[in-house]
Amino acid sequence: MNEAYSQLPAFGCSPASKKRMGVSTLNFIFVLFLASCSPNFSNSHRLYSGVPAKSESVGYVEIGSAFMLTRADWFAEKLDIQYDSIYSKLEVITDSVIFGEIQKKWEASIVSREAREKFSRETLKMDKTIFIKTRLPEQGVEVSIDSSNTPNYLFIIHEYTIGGDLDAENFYDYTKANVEMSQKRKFKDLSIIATWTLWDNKKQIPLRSGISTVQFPIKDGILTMDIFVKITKQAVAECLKKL
Amino acid sequence: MSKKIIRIVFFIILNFQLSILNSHAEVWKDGEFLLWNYGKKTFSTTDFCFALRYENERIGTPNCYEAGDLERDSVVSLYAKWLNANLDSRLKVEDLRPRNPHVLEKMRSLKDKNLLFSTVKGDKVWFLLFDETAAPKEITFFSVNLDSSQIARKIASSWFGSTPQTRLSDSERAAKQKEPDKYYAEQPMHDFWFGTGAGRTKKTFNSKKFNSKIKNYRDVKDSTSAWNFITDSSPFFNVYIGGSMYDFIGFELEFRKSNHRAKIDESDTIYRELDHWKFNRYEFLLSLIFMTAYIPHPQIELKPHVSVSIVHSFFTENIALKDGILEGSESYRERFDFESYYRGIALTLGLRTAFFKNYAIDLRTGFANRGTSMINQERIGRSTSDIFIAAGLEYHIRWK
Repeated sequence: MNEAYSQLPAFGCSPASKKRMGVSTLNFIFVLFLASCSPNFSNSHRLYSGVPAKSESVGYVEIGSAFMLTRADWFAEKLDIQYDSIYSKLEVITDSVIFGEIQKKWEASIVSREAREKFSRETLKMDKTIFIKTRLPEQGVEVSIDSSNTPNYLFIIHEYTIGGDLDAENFYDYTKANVEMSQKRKFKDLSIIATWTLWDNKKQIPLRSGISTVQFPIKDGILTMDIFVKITKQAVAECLKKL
Repeated sequence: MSKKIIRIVFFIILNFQLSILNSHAEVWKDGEFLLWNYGKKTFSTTDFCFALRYENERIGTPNCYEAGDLERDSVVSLYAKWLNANLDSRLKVEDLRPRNPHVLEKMRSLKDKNLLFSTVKGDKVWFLLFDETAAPKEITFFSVNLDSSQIARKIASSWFGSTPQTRLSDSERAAKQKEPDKYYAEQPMHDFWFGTGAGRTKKTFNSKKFNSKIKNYRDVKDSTSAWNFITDSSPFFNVYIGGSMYDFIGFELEFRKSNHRAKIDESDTIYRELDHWKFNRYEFLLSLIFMTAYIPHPQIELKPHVSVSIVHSFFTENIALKDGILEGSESYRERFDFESYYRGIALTLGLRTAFFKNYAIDLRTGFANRGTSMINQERIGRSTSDIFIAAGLEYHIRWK
């Protein structure tokens, strides 16, 4: 909290007004402060000239092996889904929600998860100590949906991690790779960390890549499918915002 | 604030160095060149080889081939297609590196050959130079209207104009790969050495006061310096042993011997009885040395050093009368005598050139002064100064 108070002048609050502010306002400012400091790394190609227009064709690559649940048992219990099928069910829901969001933005089509498995595994440097694992198509090969449809762009999610109180730095900053995290029974937030790339399918270059994080507060340990869909939408919005 | 500036300066220097290191492909003597015209054929192997020999006469006999193996490789062809689609003057060479492991493997197998890739895009013909490292080394473009020989000459002069290196055999390349890198080699080392050498010692300045001659075995105008009694320029021989730590600080013990004739006044008849009269000077120098090391070549190390030494010096006399003269004159018996020892100090500047790790040539020069500890006007050689220059051969034992 001390850090939050020290940031107050930056938000334009005078010491006199601080007294009048309620605890909830301060909490809100604190959350804003944390949000502004959370690692949200993104990286552009030299030739990237901004978000593709709404009329552009964008292929969404099905999430497939990128989908990861860190606490499958917890999700199975809360969402009342059998443990055996929690992965496949949530993966299908996630895919459809993300595709729905992308459809609102561009002329979207779906690239199958089988096509994704042919992409090469590589490492992409985001920052001095931040690296992400990527799945990117070959140089010189355009990815087609079918014989008549070859989208101009692809939206590829490399890794999509859902869990409780996750910190992206622990996943992608190699200096923090050895941080041990205890398995907590209760979470404060439901977290989604996504690493993604907007791929130029015509020239086969990664136009823009990023790491996006959303944290959604879990009240009284309640998680419903509605909340799950809502936070998935938030995660997509967070990715698209950074394009 | 100042720390930040220093860091920025270091960053700039480092990047500048890296950019120098990465900027040019090696030029090999009798090199081999693979040429790949992707799409339209824009220039020929004969033109290129001719241009290489025309522009750089030291380049030997280069061989130029069509890169048939690569052209027929379907995966490498995909990369060529990708290059053609992406060539753009806004991009840098690192943006154009291949990603496919098979293509990377093909590039590595070039070894010391060069691949010159050309492709036409719009009204430009692009040229990229590859070697065994993954990213293209050079990139340039010309107007499509230029003919093959003009392009070949431009490329030969701008990329292959520097002094060519001799190509290495496979075993030599393997040995070079195992060579410790520059930064490892620059780690300071500890050192122990012994050496022997020769030099010359000479009085410090040409003063008339040293032109004196000894009369009657002991009379000189001025007895302050030993140079009033003995010759002031002489070769000397030395042996020494020393050690240093971290290529920074060390000690050395040196022994010197030189030979000096007595400066007798030949016109003095008293010397008729004398066959010869010489002095040997022996000196021990215990030095504190400071040094620094530079490595201009992996097998050569330059070490400038400075040292300050304590000098302990004494003379032995070598005198004989002529055959048949059994007893010398009274003056002979009463002749001058040096003190039993002199103490002083020496300052030395030197440059050690070490090669093949264990051997070194050391050049040094300096100034020395020795005298007696008591201020006594009667004493001979109260202050004797000289300069010296010496060269030595050394054997070093070095470790980290």
